[in-house]
Amino acid sequence: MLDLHARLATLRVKAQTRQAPSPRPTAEALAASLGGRVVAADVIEVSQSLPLPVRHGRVAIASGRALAAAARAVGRLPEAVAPDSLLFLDTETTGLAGGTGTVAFAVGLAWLESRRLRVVQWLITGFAGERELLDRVRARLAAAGLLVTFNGKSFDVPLLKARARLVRSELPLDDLGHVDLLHATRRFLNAGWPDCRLRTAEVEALRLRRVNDLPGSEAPAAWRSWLERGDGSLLGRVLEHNRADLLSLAALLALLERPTAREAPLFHGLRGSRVASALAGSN
Amino acid sequence: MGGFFEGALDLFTDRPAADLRARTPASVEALIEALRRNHRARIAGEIVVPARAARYADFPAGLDPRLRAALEARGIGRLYSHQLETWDHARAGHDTVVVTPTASGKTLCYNLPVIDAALAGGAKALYLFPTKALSQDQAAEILELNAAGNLGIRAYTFDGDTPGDARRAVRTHGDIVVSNPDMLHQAILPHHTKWAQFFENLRFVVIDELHTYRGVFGSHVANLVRRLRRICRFYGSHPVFIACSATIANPAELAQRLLGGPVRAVTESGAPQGAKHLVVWTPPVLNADLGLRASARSQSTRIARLAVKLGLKTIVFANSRLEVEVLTKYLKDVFDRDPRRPARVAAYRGGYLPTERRDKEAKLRAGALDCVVSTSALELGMDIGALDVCVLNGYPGTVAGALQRFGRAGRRQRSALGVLVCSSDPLDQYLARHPEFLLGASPEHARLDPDQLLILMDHIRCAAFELPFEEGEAFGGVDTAAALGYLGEQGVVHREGRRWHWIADSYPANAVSLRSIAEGNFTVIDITDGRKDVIAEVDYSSAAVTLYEGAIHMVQSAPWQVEKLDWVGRKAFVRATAADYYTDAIDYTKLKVLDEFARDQGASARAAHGEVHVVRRVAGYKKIRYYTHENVGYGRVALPDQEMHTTALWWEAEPGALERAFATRFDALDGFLGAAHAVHRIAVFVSLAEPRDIGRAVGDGDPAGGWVAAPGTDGRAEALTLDGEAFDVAAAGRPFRPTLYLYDNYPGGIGISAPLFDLRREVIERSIELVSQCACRQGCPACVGPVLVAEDSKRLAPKQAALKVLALLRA
Repeated sequence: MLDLHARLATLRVKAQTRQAPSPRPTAEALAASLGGRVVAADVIEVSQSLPLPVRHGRVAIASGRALAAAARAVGRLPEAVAPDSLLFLDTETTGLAGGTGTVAFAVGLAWLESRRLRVVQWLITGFAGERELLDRVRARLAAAGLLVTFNGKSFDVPLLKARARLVRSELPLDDLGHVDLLHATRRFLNAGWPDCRLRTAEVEALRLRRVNDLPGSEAPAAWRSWLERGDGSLLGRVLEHNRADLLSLAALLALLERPTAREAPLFHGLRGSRVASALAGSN
Repeated sequence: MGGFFEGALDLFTDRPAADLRARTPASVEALIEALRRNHRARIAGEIVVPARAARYADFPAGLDPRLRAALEARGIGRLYSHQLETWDHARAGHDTVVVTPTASGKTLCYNLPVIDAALAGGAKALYLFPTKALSQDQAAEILELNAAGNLGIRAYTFDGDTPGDARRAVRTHGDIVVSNPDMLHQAILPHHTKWAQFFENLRFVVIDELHTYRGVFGSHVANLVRRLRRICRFYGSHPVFIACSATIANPAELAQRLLGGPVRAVTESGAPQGAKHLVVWTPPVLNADLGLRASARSQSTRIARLAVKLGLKTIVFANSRLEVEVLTKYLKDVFDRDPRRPARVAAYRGGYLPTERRDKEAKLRAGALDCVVSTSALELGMDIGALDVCVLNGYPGTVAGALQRFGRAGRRQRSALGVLVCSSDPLDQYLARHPEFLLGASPEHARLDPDQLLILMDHIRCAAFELPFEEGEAFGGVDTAAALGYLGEQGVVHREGRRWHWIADSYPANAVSLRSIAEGNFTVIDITDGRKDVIAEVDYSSAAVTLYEGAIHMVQSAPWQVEKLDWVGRKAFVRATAADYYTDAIDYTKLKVLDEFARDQGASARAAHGEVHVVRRVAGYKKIRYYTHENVGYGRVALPDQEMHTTALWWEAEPGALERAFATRFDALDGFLGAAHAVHRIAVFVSLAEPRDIGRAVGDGDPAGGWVAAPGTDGRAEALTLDGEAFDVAAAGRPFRPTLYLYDNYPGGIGISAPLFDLRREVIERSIELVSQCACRQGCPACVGPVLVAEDSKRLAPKQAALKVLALLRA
């Protein structure tokens, strides 16, 4: 009887040749290249503290109070929201399919602290760091009052809950208020846009075009390269992408603070003929 | 009896039946008497299964009083013995399989322990049914019990139709979740964290219709059970499995292989049952030369008509939707002529809307319909009340299937009758000559191969997605470490420390179909008049020979022509056709032995079994006119060769004995081709397989040689290379080692060849019987294959040639 490997090969199951794994650079070296530091075994933290106003595209994220008011209005919340209770969240994962096999290898969080926007990102360098990552996320969630995401209700939150259960932990996500800007974007801003993606909202509403951005779809491969071959060269760009996503979240919320923005489609980014029909339709 | 038969003359004419509903229905014995008296020659075999008295048991002492009250409110005051037996096993924590006939209260066998545990303290259960309709029926039944006793049990179906917002409620609040294997595979297990509460409290898993989980499908489901057990272990639960099976020869063995552990079998039914008469019926011969018989349809109609006129509730099973419609028409012409009166005859098949089907089921239960004509859709479980007579219009393909259908007729206190009307199909006629196969012999053994390598690998992928694998963790019978190493090389899992984690960005369950192996089924899409309807599915191995461009492909007896075949996309686009010919692929199959596992050297033959490499090429096709069987043209086919490794068994004749038996080598090849045809039929029969599960070929047993045998244009055997060039086997000095191969038609094999090898003698003996007892003279599709014989041919007839070869192989 042929051994398993040979049998699988003969059964027309194609095997790809993999290179032998090379010795991996240390986590410290990777952290340094990312501008961060190792905060726990297999967890790297990259953090920034940006003084307000933070300009992102044509929007200035200037006022915590304005952001809080926007969040309250968009989320139709009965009570006022404290600016420092807002928590922006975005994850980088190994896939988009969801399910228990998808891993959040990086979590980016942003929140207001005095007159500054704190942006903190945690990246795991191996699966062993996941529990630590989730513990740190939990600590931040416990301090927050309102979560702000883009498609977080369908994707990021269920994913984090799943990851927590798999390491037999829990995240206090059920009791936390949550404003998902995907829905708001769809309602208020998307008239004549090709789709509801964050990238499109950036271009159309924020007038921001990223330079040399690593598309989100390439993030899984970037992390796999690190895991399998010790090649972390693309991870910096993954974190940049994640930071830009977080800032776009805040900027969109700032934009939505204007009552007119919430009541009618924002037509600055619209194409000609659709403006007329959109306006006609809204009256 | 006298008073009854006053009206007897009416029964055998076509005069409109007087309304017999006012009179008491006749007994089934009276029907049998009438049939026997008038058509004795058509009865090929009969048997009576004696009546069985009820064996009761009291409710167990530990039964929750609320449940007891609910049962009593539904009119159930005590249990049947087998229901108590199942309760005892389940409560003791043993996996159990219940093997009792339909209408024996098997639902209560599992509902009792499940609902009791749910009432006692939050225990949850998962029910798996093969179809959505059955799932919905079951959920409805639990709800009725619930309502009767105000139990507060929440039973929900969870399938493709469950809307998104309802799914959350099912996950978090369902006490009993009713679903199916596909849903478990694609939607539940890969998202198990959403079901954490459910899995933590899972106490029972119920698998109904266990006997349907065999072959490829069964092998997949066995692996699904492995994945399920693995997830349960993660959440700390160890559910007890309760399975229900129809009567097959080896229910405990099947359950064990499917569930992966020891299983207690409950096989004695305590439910009362009237005597059952089973009859095998064969239509009379109309033309002896051609071997033509009257149609099965005419016989089924006759029997059903008589039964209904006698006031007996009847079900007729047909093997295709078209047959259902035709039989219904014939019967309605007799019984439903007056449109003002309620219909007495109804058709039932999968294509009808669910509301229509529910309506007919209800009418049957209430006794408002006298006769229903159905496809296999009514074979499984749904409660349609008790019927007196069941007619099978043609053998459904397996003994278990036939017995399952017969099970639809059966009364508690009165006799019932099941009649199998044999068609002219060779297997049906074989049964007509050997009714003991159906009536006496034990049903077939259901086989499955949970460690089929490709199937197993697919499920290891899915399992790795669900939970990381730990070092040393077992999954099935394969070396898990080697399998994971292989997947690691493919970049699908990553090893870190003692664990293998999933890192690909795909969702493996999407790529695994529970009903095929690796390569994926083809969908047949109707594009007539701009449509795009999927009308059928064809498995990979049959696709090359039935879906090439130009092929006439039959779906439910209606012809379609394949206009375009997208091989890579696995789609065939067909258009309805009125062509007056059908197509027959010209394909060559060449086998090469890679490894021999076992052999048997006899005096004039040698048999062996092992691993082989198979190459199959479809070179073209013949166009054959209906009825006259003239060859009216050829077509070319350009499809990739199909290659695979699989397991096979083969026979070779001793060269000296072969030379002595045959005047020419080509005569011997005729014999081998004919023998292969018969042996294939018998092998399919004996191993509970479908014809497409087993491939056959005749080729050169010399590894250095390379010819294959195939029927030529004159109907006689030719030896060819794979490219279709003639090969002169008669050249002097060249050794002649024709070999007859039977192989598992799936890459990696599916566990058919090995047991067949063990049964090799029986296979040859039955093949000899099949051929020698066939009514034809020279050979026919029923025994050795289609034969075109010149009128004054002096060559050995294919039938005789086949018998000579089989006689050699027997030794």
